[in-house]
Amino acid sequence: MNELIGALPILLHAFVTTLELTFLAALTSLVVGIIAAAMRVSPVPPLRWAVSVYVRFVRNTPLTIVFFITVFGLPQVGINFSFFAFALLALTLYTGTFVAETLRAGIQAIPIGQIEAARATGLTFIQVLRYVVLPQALRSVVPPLASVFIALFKNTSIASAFGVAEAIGTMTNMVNVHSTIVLWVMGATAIIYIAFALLFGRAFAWLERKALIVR
Amino acid sequence: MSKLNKLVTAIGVAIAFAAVSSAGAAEFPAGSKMAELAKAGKIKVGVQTQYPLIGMKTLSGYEGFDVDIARLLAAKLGIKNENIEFVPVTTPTREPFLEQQKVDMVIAAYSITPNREKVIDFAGPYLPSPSGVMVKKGNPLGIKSMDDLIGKKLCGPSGSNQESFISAHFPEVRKTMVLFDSSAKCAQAVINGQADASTTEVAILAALAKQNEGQLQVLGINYDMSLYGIGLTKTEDKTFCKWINKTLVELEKDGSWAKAYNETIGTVVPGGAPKPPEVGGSCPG
Amino acid sequence: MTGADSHLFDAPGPRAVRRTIIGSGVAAVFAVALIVYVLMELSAKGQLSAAKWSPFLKYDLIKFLLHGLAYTAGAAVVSLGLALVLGIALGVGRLTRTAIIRMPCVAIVELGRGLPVLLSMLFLFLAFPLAFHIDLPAFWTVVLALVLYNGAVIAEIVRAGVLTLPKGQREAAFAIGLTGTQTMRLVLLPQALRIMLPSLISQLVVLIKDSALGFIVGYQELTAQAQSAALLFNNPLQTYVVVGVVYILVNSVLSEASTYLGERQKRTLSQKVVTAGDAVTIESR
Repeated sequence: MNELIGALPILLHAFVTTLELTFLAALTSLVVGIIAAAMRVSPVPPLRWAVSVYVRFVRNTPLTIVFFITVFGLPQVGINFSFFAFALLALTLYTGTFVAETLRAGIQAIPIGQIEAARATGLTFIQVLRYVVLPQALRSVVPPLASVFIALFKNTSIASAFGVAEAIGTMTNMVNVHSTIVLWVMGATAIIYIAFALLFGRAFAWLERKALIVR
Repeated sequence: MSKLNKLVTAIGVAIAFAAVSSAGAAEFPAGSKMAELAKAGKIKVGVQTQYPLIGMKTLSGYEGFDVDIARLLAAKLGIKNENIEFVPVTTPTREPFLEQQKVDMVIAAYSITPNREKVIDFAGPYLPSPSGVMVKKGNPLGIKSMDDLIGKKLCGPSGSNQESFISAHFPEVRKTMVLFDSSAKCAQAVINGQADASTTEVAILAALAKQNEGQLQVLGINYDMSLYGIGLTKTEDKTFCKWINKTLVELEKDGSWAKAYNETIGTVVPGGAPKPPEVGGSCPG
Repeated sequence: MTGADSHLFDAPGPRAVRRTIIGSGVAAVFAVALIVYVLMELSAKGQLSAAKWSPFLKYDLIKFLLHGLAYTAGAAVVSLGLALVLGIALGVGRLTRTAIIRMPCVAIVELGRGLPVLLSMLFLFLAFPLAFHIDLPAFWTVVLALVLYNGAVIAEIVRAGVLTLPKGQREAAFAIGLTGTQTMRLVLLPQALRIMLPSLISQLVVLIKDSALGFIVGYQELTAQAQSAALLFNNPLQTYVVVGVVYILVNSVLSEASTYLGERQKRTLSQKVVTAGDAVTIESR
């Protein structure tokens, strides 16, 4: 037990990195996802194709491989960042596709009448998206978007295989040393993960209530 | 050529077989783990999958020094190579595999430590395995000792012996260390200039340097002279552990140990086969 | 482009078409230039050499990777079926008014969503034999962990889908005398699943890829095989590109198939609604 208490501060410290990576990647992938979703429904065919290719390629590839090609492929063509920045990039590229697809589902769920009414008032495509479509789409996809971001929170663990000292990597180090408390170290890690996921879940549930539109 | 002839041959083979197998079983005391394994004719061994020359998954099976030791021990139990089931193990699953008796032994670059001995038994040790440091060819940063690595990006595998040793003995070096899930990735990071140096078992460093001919260089720095042991389920009865130790000594004497070493680690690490460590582990004497 | 998307804009006029063509032309030139630059850089670094790519023509390696693909597909198919059942049950359960049903569903969803799949695999691996005295094979460890996580996510997708539906749907269903369960099963759920089809497909794709986490308990699927192969042939970048393409192909086929099925279901569904409407009219006469 004392061994576990001694190990906890190191574990908690690693969670700070996990959270940093999660929040930064959530922000950037939300931006990437919204832009990609807008391009996907835009009147310009090549924009739609570009996004379609991006989503198909990146979403369908395991995150480990996205990471590998980012971290070890980009330096081959002369692009080199820190491991943290690479991890942020890989997570953003990957999560962006899920945000885009989730938003697309939301856009498709919007009654056509809404869009027709908006266009009838003379709004341009961008304006229709910005004032009518995206606000509603974002609201209707709050619960699945919460799942996407909670998945991102857990996906940051892949960064441990690529030079970022986050929670799961730190846990593995501890398990290697503290053979007698393997289950405890893993249990503590699991509880912290679930606690944060619950917290995010609550935050999104609050957002969902605030955003709820009764039809 | 008659039917009778064939029959006679068949009976002869059957008798010979029975003689061999009964002889095999008779060697071991009834109720011992050895007798149990010899009778079953198969064994499950936990191994590493991505440790070149030590425990490596190949297209057709497994290879490396650990794997050879497993085969040599199995042969002494009368178990054929094809009846050895190699099970991939990872840092968090090695001890549980043994505690739950999902495998009969773990031979997986498994350093003997007091902490581990609290939950499992170790036979052996069977191999001294120092850790080393590898840099870009030409050693551009002029690294000569562990202290030169302070403030440098030293790359190592997470959950490894090296990580725990450096944490305990070189905390200043540990501060700027970057961890990956495999030594191969560390080698790649050093080649790309993303990390300054890489550390893991000397044998693995040498294998990776050979793979990436002319790009990497293994330095003469050796630390953590840890000894690999054979992990066993913790029991009161140390018969199996003692039998493995006795057999390891036999393998050393008849030259099989040195042969296995020369065919694996010896192909890249200069200096020939070292003196095998004194066996003891959890069942000394 | 189907559904609401096409209602977002008019067919572009001649000026817009001209602008699009010019813009696309410029973008295409940039894209080609970028590709050429990347290929030149890769070639200069020796990443396009025959030695790095030719192993993929070897029968042994192809067989090795296909073996991994079979493991990936096996775990994914079994998990998908179970996860869909669990997800719909949990999603509907979360929407019921009875707290005794709702609360456990909420708890399972939160647990499944919050626990990293890697950890749930480890826990199943460690705790299952202790709790039930059954040795859970690696395959089922992987499947159960995937079902727990994906079931939870599918539950949330289903719930979001149901909540997005116009209130009138439920009211109309109640008005014609359907019970709560019937309303859910016949009216809300089919529509919700249709609306959320893109998200569901995303989840299917996640499931296929997440089986890769099974390496921690020794499940050797496609990604694990790729890692071993990359180490054997010292061509990680090439291996991951090839394996990435395999994943993209498999997932694309699956995505297209599910989209097609969804679209077809949408058509048959609307036909059924029409028929049902007719029946109601006939009866009321």
